[in-house]
Amino acid sequence: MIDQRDLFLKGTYVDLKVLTYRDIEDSNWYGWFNDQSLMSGIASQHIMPNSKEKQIDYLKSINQSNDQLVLGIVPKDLDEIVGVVSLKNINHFLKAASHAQIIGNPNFRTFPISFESNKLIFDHAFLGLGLRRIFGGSINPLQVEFMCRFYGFRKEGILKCAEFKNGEFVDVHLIGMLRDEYHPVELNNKVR
Amino acid sequence: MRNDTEVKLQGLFEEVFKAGREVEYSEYSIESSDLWDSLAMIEIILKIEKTFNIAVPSNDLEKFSSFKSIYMYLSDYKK
Repeated sequence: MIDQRDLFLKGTYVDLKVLTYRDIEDSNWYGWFNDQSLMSGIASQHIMPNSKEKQIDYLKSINQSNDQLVLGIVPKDLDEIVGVVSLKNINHFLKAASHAQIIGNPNFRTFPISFESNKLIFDHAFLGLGLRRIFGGSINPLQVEFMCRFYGFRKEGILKCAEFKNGEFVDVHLIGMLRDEYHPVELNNKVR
Repeated sequence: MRNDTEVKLQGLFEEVFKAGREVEYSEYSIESSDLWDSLAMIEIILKIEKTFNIAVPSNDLEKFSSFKSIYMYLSDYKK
């Protein structure tokens, strides 16, 4: 059961909630990172096993941190998180942060949920935290196209062979977006 | 008899979903296929733009929810 008091950012298709110990108990949060197929397209994952104890330690670390904001993704009418979206390395002098999103439950890797969970945290980054720049990277060129086309990110370069995934070294595609460049597409309620 | 647009779209779906030629992609939709996630959606759009030499505006996203709706979209686009 989601405690409504934990909902931090509310959208049409999803809400973003403060992460708590209940999320470790009630969802498969820590188990996502042990699932090889779920992590196959995500850099720096499924290298070492995860555990409930490690997830508790991680939760403590993000709750005590001032330079990262990690929120759970809760689809409307669902009672558990299906992924997490984050701003990390928040630098209040440079007004910049890195972005990442993981949707662990594959049944919810749909366009509206993926798109809106990012949009909610980008809106908060620019309008709430006053950031000027968000950056990120991916080993999946399709993910990069998604971010560029639907939010306004630009491709900033390639880190050659910067990750080791599925038995080979792969490139990391870097992207970045300034506040003035942020132009998320308008979703109408027919997009599923 | 399938027309050129339908054949190209079938080939495109074979590339994206990799489920083989024997699959009846004309019945594919976001609801019916677990593989049709957000990245599959962007891959379909990119391949359609390249294959049919068109630009898909973001406000047409709702048309990209099934094989049939995409086929209708392409048919209307040509008119």
